Amino acid sequence: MDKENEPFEMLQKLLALKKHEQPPPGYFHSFSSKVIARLHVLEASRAATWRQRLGLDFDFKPAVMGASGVLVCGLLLVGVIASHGLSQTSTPNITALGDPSAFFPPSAGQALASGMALTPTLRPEEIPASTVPVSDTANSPFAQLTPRSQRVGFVFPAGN
Amino acid sequence: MQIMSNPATLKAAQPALPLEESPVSLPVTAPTEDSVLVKRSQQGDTFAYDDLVRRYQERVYATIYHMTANHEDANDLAQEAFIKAYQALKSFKGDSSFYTWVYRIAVNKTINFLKQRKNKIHLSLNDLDFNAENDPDLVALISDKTPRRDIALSELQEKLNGAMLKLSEVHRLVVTLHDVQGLSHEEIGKIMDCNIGTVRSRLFYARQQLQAYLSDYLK
Repeated sequence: MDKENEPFEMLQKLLALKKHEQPPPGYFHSFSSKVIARLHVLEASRAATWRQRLGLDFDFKPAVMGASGVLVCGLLLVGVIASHGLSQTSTPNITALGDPSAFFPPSAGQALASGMALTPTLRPEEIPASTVPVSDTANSPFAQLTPRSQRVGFVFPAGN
Repeated sequence: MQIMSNPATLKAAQPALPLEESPVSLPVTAPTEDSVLVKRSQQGDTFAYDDLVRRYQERVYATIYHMTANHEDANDLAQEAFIKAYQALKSFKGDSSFYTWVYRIAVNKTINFLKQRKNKIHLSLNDLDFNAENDPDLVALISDKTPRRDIALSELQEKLNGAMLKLSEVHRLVVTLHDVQGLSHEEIGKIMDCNIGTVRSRLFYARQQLQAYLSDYLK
C-alpha cells in the first residue's frame, strides 16, 4: 500500500464491505432485457404521439370516432338522396337540350314548328341572350336579393 | 432512432465480459469490441445495445447503488441511464470510451437525483454476499466486538452507508469509484470531468471525513 493510502488502511478494509453488497440473486439476468423493453415502449409511445399530432388517434377517443362515423354516414346518405332527387328533376332538362325550341320563346317555337324561319317581328326582349338566364327566376329565393351599389368615400390620413 | 430487431445480429454479438472482474481497469480488447457494438447500436440494433448493457450493467448499477444506498433507486436510475445513453448514442463520437461515456451519464443522473431528493434519505440496502463473512479484513474488524458476526456485519454495513451519505455527492462519488470500484485517478477524472489533482484532493478529504464518522469502528 502506497503512502497516500497508508493513513486510511483500516478505512479501506472497512470500505471493502461495500463490495459484498449484492442485489437479489438473478437481478442482472433480466436487467438488460428490461432496458430494451423500456426502449421499445418509448419508441411505441413516440409513434403514438406522432399519430396524435396527425389527428389519427381515433382509437384513443371512442366518442370522436363514433361522431366521425355518424357524420360520414350522414353525409353519405345526404349525398345519395341529393343525387337521386337531382336525377329526377334534371331528366326533362336533358331532353330539352335535344330540342332547339326549348331555347326560344313560345312564339319562336311555334315558328320553328311550322317550318318558318324567324321573322323580324320578334321583339328584342323575346330574343334569348347568353347573359340572360334561361330558367325562370321569379320563384327563386335569390330573386329577392337585389344587389345595390353604394358609393363609399375612403379618407386616408395625411403623412406616411 | 428507429429500433431494429434483427435476429441475425444476435448471434454475431459476443457474450458480455465476466463482470465479476469489474473493479479493475478495462480489458485491452474492450474498446474495439465496444466501438463495433456502438456502431451497430447507432443504426438501431437493439441486440448490439443489449450486449453493451450486459457488459456494464453491474458496474453502473453498483456505482449508483453506492451513491444512493437504495436498491430501488439504483435500479431505476441505472435503467434510465442506459435508456438515455441509447437515445443520445447518435451524438456519441467515440472521443472517449463508451464505458466512460455511459458512466458519466449515470453519474450525472444520480447527482441530479440526489440533489432533488436532498433530505429524503431512505436506506434500502442489499444483502451481503456469503464471502463477506469470510473476508479476513472484515473478520478482523469485527471479531473482537461481538461473537455474533452476521449481526455485526449488517450493523457495520448500516453505519458505513450512513457515513457515506453524510459526504457530499462529489466526495461520495470519488470514494465509490476509487475505494469501492477500484478505478484509477485518471478514469475518475474523465468521468467527473476534472483533473487528477482534484480527484486526489477530493479523495483525501472524503477519506478524512469518513474516518472521523467511523472512528468507533476503526480502532
